[in-house]
Amino acid sequence: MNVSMQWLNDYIKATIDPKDLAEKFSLHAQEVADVTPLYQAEGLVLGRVLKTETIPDSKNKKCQVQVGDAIRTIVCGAPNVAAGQDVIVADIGATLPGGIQIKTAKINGIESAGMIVSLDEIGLDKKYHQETGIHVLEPAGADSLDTLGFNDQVIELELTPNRMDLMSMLGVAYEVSALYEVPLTLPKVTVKESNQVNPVKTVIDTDLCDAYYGRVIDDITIKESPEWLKNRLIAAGIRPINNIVDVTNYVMIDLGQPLHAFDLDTIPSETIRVKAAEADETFTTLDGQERTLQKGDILITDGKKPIALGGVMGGLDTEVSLKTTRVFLESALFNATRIGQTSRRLDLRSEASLRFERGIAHDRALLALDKAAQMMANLGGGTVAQGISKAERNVHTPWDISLPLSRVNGVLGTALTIDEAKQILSRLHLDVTVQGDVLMVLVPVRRLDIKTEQDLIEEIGRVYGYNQLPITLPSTNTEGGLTAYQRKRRQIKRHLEGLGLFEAITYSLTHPDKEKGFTEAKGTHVLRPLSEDHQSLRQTLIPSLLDVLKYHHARQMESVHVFEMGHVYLTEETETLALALSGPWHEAPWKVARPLDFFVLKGVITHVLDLFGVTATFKPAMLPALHPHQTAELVVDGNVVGFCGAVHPKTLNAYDLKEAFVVEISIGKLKAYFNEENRYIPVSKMPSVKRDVAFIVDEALPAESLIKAALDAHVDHLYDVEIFDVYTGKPLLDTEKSLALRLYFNDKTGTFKTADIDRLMDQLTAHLTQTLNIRIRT
Amino acid sequence: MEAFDSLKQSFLKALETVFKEAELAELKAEYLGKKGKVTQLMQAMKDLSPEERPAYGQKVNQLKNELSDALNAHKEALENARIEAQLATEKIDVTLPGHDMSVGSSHILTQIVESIEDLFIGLGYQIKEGPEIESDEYNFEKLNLPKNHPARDMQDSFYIDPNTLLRTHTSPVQVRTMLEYGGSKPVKIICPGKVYRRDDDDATHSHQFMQIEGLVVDQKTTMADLKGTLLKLAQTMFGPDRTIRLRPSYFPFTEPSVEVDVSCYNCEGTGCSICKHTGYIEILGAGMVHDNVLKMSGYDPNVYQGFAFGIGVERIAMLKYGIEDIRHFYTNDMRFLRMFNQ
Repeated sequence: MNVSMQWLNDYIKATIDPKDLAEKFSLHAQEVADVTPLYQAEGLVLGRVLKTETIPDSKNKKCQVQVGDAIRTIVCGAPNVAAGQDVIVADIGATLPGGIQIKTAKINGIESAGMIVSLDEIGLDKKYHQETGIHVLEPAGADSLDTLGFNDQVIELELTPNRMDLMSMLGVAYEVSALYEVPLTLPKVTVKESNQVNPVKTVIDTDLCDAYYGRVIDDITIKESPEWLKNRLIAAGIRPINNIVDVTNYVMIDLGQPLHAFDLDTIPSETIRVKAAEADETFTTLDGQERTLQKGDILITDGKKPIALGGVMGGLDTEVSLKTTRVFLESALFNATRIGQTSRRLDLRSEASLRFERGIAHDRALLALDKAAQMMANLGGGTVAQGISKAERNVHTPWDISLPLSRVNGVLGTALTIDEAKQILSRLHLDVTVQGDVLMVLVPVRRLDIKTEQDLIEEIGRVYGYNQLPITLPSTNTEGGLTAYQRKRRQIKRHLEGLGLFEAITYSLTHPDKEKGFTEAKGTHVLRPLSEDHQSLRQTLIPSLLDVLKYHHARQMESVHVFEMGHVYLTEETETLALALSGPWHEAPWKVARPLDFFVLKGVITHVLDLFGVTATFKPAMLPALHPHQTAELVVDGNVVGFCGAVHPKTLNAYDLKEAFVVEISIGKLKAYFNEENRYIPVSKMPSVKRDVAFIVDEALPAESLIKAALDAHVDHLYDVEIFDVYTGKPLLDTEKSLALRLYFNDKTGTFKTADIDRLMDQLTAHLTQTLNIRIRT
Repeated sequence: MEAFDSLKQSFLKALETVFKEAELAELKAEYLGKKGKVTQLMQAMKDLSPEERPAYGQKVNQLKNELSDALNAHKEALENARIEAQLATEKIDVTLPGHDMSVGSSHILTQIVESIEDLFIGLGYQIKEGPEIESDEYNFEKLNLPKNHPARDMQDSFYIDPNTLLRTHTSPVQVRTMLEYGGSKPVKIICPGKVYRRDDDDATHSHQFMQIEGLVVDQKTTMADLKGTLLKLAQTMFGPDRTIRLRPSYFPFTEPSVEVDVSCYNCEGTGCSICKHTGYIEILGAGMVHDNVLKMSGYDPNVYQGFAFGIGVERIAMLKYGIEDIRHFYTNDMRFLRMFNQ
């Protein structure tokens, strides 16, 4: 909503600085986007062209122009300049848009003192006019450029959807009156009716129309609107068209009531019926488009065929044209929700539909009708016929709200007295009476946003000023803290960061093709994606992390180690942790780098799982996107909770990578195995003994099963087993390998003799050779 | 006595020619061993009279000690020389760079979320999380945004089906929490998380971003409490000298609703390009919980009232560090991420 300061002055006589008003509005009412002059030009004056002379060998004309009491010689190049015109002159010292300074200049050898300007030259956007040449005013008479609106200031309000009452100049005036505590001059309209009787009857056949009023204006002449009116429309952001259309727009901005003018001579009947459209009914709107309607769109009809799509757009056949002499002017109250639906569906949102959608002050429909009818008569040289066409179904009347003062102070945290509260509401021109500690408020129909106690508290709060409220903290005493899971999540992140990994955050929406090879499921699609790349919800974080690796490789950064914790969307939404590693780690580039391999990755994963208190087994597995012989599933308690491995060369190619290792673990699935408790076991005071033994085993035997078998042997005092060497080659067969175990023994109650350990070792090796079909390497 | 002196001289002379630790043992045996020359001198004592023996013995012992000391000193010198020679071969250029044992870093957005979480944990809040795929009911309807509500235009959303969408704010977590609490106990929570809106990505818009919302519901929660809480938040994020300013606004789920500005940390309120010469920067939206929202989540608005606020994490980071493009957060350039590892 653009507010013309000059227009506002119709209702607020007090002098108000636009910048100050903008500040007050921001702090107490609504956001102000900008305060700008209507024309970005300074030093404009009214001039009258007294005489023009042609200049030899030039298409310019030498003009004598009266500016105030002085006569100026101005050279003008516009073909339309002529004696007798009232024009706008940029005087010596004037500034035009773009910082152009007007100085005395010699043109065609003639001293030219100023410039007669076009609308373009004073910065009017082409969307508001189609003029070429200088702007010729109507005979200005006693008017000045000020009164014609050329020096107006415009405040651009950014209205929130609840403050529909501010979508009119009168509504803004109410607010200004409240904020400045200055009087409001209410509009008064007197209609001078002719002897002609308004022949039109109106009937409402649907609940979607609350009231339908009309007046007839006879004998009008369609022409351009006067300068002041055009300038006010331009200030409001509306293109002037002709006197009749302009008046409907003007009064809509002025009072908030949308109006529509029909050429009465194009309507064959004298009865106008408002009805709900049937499904698939068609209608050609005034933009020439045939519209297919839906059941419940509001139609204005001549009793038989539609003449307008109520509240949204008029019809082509009944449009006001240059030939129009009789106008039927409609002022109606349509259903807000329905107008919203129809205008959105047909993509026909307008200033009018917007106002209907947000809600109209019912008590202004007749005022607007009268004001517009009289203006049309005045501006079109016509007369207003006697009587109003009228049909009403459901017209709002003011409503009561009672508001205990305790609730006001209880919500705002203030200590306002009942008188203070009453005074604030009265500033808003609400009718307030006090009964004990309760404010009884009669809410006028223009304030559709005030329906509840809470609405009134908001009014008191903002007018009083939120910045005057005390500053306190909630008195609620509750225990704050992270949940065990949240604490764990932070711990995991710190651990990975400590290892040198960077946390990435990537987009949840992806392209399903990126997930091929990691998952077979189709993924969940959004209905109207913004781009191909962001059309489905991801089921794995790894492609996003490979993209991060790719980004860095393309920029000559080959050592990249990243992780992400985020949601994936499988049959249900769960949180996962993913890592992607590429390039040497913890290296010194001038030395031989420690290569990154599967076992570096496995080491990281194992310790992350340790933090969760979980031990997983790594089971060889296959995923199309990963290396067929360097991939494992992570299994906890028989459930697969994730996978890890080297990335397949073909996948690497797709990301322009040389190597990458990835893991993804479902934290959601791991949750069930969280172990938060640390346990104390006394540290043994006795020395431990370690023994080594190597076995020749089948090449395919997983090392883990040997370790597991050793531990499962339940040999006394054996507390740890590790693999310290893996050997293949001569003299072993190709189908064999050697695995060397290191075994740790400890007896908390005593020391070992060699014979004791020998006995335990025999027991162990006997168990292993029997259960696994392996032999000791001697 | 001359025998003593010559023995000593010949020992010292021999010692000077020994340069290997192994040869020292031979020399030691020759003089100080069981059959060594000093031992032989000691054996000569039995030929002396009892009166002469003590003095003689003392002299032999003295000689033995002298030789022993000389031997040990020489031994240590040899050992030192050997170690030094060894160390000399181990010389390195200490100015060469060390192994890259640097730590990584958490994402700047995580850091801001965690610092806000920590502030509110200190104030007695719990952290609540919820799903990113939400029902229309929890994301809109229970927040006083019925279907066809004009304010739904403000948040164009990614729907999955007509009743399911990617949440446009973390407010549904507030709804879930209130329903969980059953309308009878105070709520004091913050809800961080990812949210999604149908905005084309550019320097200031992102179809995915992080939000933190706060909610307090109790019998005496006031708008003054909201102000105090937001002041703490602004000061934690932008420095202890900051002040805040509240301007009226509109959200369907709160009333009164406000936009909150923080005094400009760059110009201290005198006006600069960061605050667009207003002295203030808009940082968040807030308000008193709408009665309808309380009702729909099981709280009686005649007994309970509350406040809520919501803050965009990217916006805070952009303001705090002068980051000019929101897409940087989702590019994950290590050079960018590393800037925030202090």
